[in-house]
Amino acid sequence: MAQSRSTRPSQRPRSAQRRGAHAGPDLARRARNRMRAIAGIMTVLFCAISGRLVQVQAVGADWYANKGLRQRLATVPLPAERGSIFDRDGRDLAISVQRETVWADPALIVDPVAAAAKLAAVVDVDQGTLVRRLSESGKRFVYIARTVEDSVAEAVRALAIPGVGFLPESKRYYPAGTLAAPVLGEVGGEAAGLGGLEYMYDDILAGKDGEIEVERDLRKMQIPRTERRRVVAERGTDLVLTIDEALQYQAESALIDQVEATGAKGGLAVVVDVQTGDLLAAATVDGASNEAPAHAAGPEENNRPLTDVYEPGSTNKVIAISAALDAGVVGPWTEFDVPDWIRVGDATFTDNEGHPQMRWSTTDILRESSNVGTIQIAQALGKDRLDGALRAFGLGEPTALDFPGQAAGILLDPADYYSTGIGAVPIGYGVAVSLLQMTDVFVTIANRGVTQPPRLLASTIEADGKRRTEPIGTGKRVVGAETAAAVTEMLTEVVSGGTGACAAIPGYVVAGKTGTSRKHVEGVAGYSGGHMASFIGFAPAEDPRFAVAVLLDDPVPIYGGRVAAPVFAEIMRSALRLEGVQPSPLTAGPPQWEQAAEAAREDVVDCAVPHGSALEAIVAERAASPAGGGGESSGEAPARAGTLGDPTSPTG
Amino acid sequence: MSASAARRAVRTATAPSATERVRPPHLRSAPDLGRRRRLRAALVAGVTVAVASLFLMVACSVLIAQGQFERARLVERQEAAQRRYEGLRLDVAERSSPDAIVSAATRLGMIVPDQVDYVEASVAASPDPSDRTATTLDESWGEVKASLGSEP
Repeated sequence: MAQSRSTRPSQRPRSAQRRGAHAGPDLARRARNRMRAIAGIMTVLFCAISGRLVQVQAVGADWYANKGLRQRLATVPLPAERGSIFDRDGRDLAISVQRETVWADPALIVDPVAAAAKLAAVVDVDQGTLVRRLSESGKRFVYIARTVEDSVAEAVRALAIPGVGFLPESKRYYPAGTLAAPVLGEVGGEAAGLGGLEYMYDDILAGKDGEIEVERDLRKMQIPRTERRRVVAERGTDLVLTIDEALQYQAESALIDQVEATGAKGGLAVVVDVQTGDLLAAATVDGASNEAPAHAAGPEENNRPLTDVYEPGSTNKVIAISAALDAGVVGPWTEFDVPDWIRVGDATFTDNEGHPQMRWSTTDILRESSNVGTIQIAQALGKDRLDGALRAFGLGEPTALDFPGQAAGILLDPADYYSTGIGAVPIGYGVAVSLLQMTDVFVTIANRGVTQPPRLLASTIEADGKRRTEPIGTGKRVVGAETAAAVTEMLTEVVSGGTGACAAIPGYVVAGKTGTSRKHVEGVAGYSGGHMASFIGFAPAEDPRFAVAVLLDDPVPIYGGRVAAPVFAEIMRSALRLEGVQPSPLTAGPPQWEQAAEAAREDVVDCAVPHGSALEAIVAERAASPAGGGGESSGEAPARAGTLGDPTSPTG
Repeated sequence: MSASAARRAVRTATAPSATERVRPPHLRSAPDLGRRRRLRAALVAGVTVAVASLFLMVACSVLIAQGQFERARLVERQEAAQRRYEGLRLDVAERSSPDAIVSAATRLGMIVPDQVDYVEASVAASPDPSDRTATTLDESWGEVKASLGSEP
C-alpha cells in the first residue's frame, strides 16, 4: 500500500504534481468549510423548523386547532317537512316534497363565464343572470336555482363545477292545481304561509327545523365520528279539512260555466253540511277577461265567500219574516193587502214587477219575493226586533271560522237607521254580509232554528300520527223549531212555484230563496247599474243535509232565480249524490220538481247551466253581438226601478 | 472469651472467602433459567397483548369508520327513498285530481254533455246511505294514509 501510494504521484504530469502539492490541505479545508456551512445551514433550518414546530404545536396550538376545526366544522340544516293538507277523505290538497337547491360560492368559481354557460344549459336560469351572480365579489353564497327537480340536480352534479353546492329545500305542491286555492293560500319562497290556511296555520304546519354539526372534508363529505351536535327536525302537523275535493270541483266547474255564460264579473259558491257546519266547498271564480276565460281564482286571491261583503237583497227577507213569525207578529197564512209600491221615509219602494193590490199571505209574500209585503211585515215587527234578529242570525260579526281577513259585515245600529232603514234593511239593503254569513242564516233555519257554527278544520295529525279531532261547534237557538219549520215550508214554495223554480232537483224537495240586489258604488252614495244575483237554499227540505249558496257578480240576466238557482241545483244535486242521500218521500199531488218545471216553462226560463258545446255557442253568440254583451240589457235595472239612490228594486 | 469462641474466631479468620475461593474452570453458577423464562414470557405476552390491543383498536376504529360510512350511505339511501316516495305521492295526487281525470277523459274522447238526465228512482228503490260507493275518511284512511296516521 505504501509503495503504491509513493509511486502514484510520480506517474502524474508535473503540473498535476505541482497542484497536488497544495491540493491536499486545500481540499480538506474546503471540505471542512463546506461541511461547516452545511451544518450551519442545517442547524439554522433545524432551529427554524423546531421554532416553527414549537410555535405551531405549543405556543399557537389552540389557535391553529381552532382554525382547522372552523374549516372542517359545518352546521348542516335539517329542514322540517311542512305538514300536508288533506280534504275530508284524505285526498292531498297540499303536500311538500324535498328538492335540492343549487348554490355557489363565487370566491371558489374560477371562470364565472364558463361556469354560467354550463349551468345555464341545465338549470332554467338566464346565462347573463348566472354570470352576474357568480361574479359577485365579497359574497360566499349565491343561489343558482332553487328547489329544482331531481333530474336537474343530477345534471348539475355531473358538471362537477368546483364551488357549486346543493342544499335540501322543501317545495310546496298543490296537486289539484287551483282547486280551492283561495282557501288553501300559498307558501312563499322562505317556506312561510302567505295566505289562506297556509298562513292561518303556519305555526303548526311549518314544524321545527333541525340541524347537525359535523366535520367535513374538502369534498364536503362528512368525516366519520365527528358529529358534535344533532337537533332532530320535527315534521309539521297535517291538517284534515272539511272540504270535499270532488264537491269543490263540481262547485267550481258549474260556477265557471255559468259565469262564462252570463258574462258575470265573478261568482262565489259555498256548500255547508247543515248537521255539522262543515264547509264542504268554497268556490271563488273570476270572470272572463280579454286575456282569459272565466276561471277559478288563484291562491293569491281572497277567499271571497268569507272576506267580501255584499248587500244580500231578497235572501235577507228570510230573517225579517222568521223574526216576525217567531215574535207572533204574523203567521204563515196571515194576509196583507200588498200594493206594488210603498213609501218609507223619503223613498218609494216597489216590487220588481208591477201588480194590482194583492191579498197575499206571508207565504205568498216570500214566494213572490215582494219587497212591499216584506216591508209591511218588518214595520209590524219594528226596527229593534228586526235588528235583534239580524244579530242573532250572526250578521254584523265574523263567523266562528276565524279565517284570515274574514269580514264581519256591516250592520247599522237601529238608532242610526236612515228614515228609509226599516224599508231597506228587511229587503237586504243597508246591510252588508259575506256569503258564508248569509248561508249560516239558512243553515239555522234548516237546523230547526239553532245555529250551527261553520267548521273548516276537521282534525289535525301530529308528526307521531296522533290525531286530534276539532270539535263540532255548539249552536244557539235563534228562532223556535216551529218557526223554522214554517219558514222551511214557505221556502219550498219559493222553489215549487215562485222565483226559485230553477233550483228544483228531481227526487228531492228543495227549500231556498232567490236574491237580486243592486251593486253599491264604492265610495259613493247610491247604486250602480250592476247587480248581485244569488240563490241560497238547503235540501232535502224534510231532513236537511246540505245548504248551498251561489252568488254571481253582475250577470246577464240579472236575476238570482235565473242565473244562480240553476248553479245551486247542479251543486246540490252533486252533493246529494256524492253523499248518497235518500230522495224525499213522495207526497200527494205532483212533486215539487214537476211543479217547478211547469213554473219554469210558463216563464220561458231555461234552467240548465250550459256546458260544453251549449256554452261555446252562448259565448260565440255574445262575442258576435255588436255590444259584445249578449242578448239581454247590460244589467240596467228594469223599468220599475225605484228612486235613484235608494235600494228599492229589483229584488227577486 | 471462652476457648470455643476463640477457636471459632480463628477459624473464621483463617477460612477463605467465597470469592477468594478459586472456582474450577468447568464449573459456573447456573443461571436462574425459570425466572428468565418467566420474564421473557411475560415480556412476550405483554408485547403480544399490546400489539393485539393496538391491532384491536385499529380494527375497531376501522370497523367503526366503516360503520359510519355505511350509516352515511344508508342515510343517503333513506333520503333518496323518502324523496322518491314524496315524488310518487305527488304524482299519484296529481294524476288522481279531478282536473287531471277530466283532462284524461277529454283526451280519450269523452265530452261534457249539454244536458244531463237523471233517472228518477222511487223511494223504495233509493240507495241506502250505507251502500255508498264513495270512500270516506273513516273507511279508507288506514289504507290511503297509512304512513300519516293510524286512526281517522
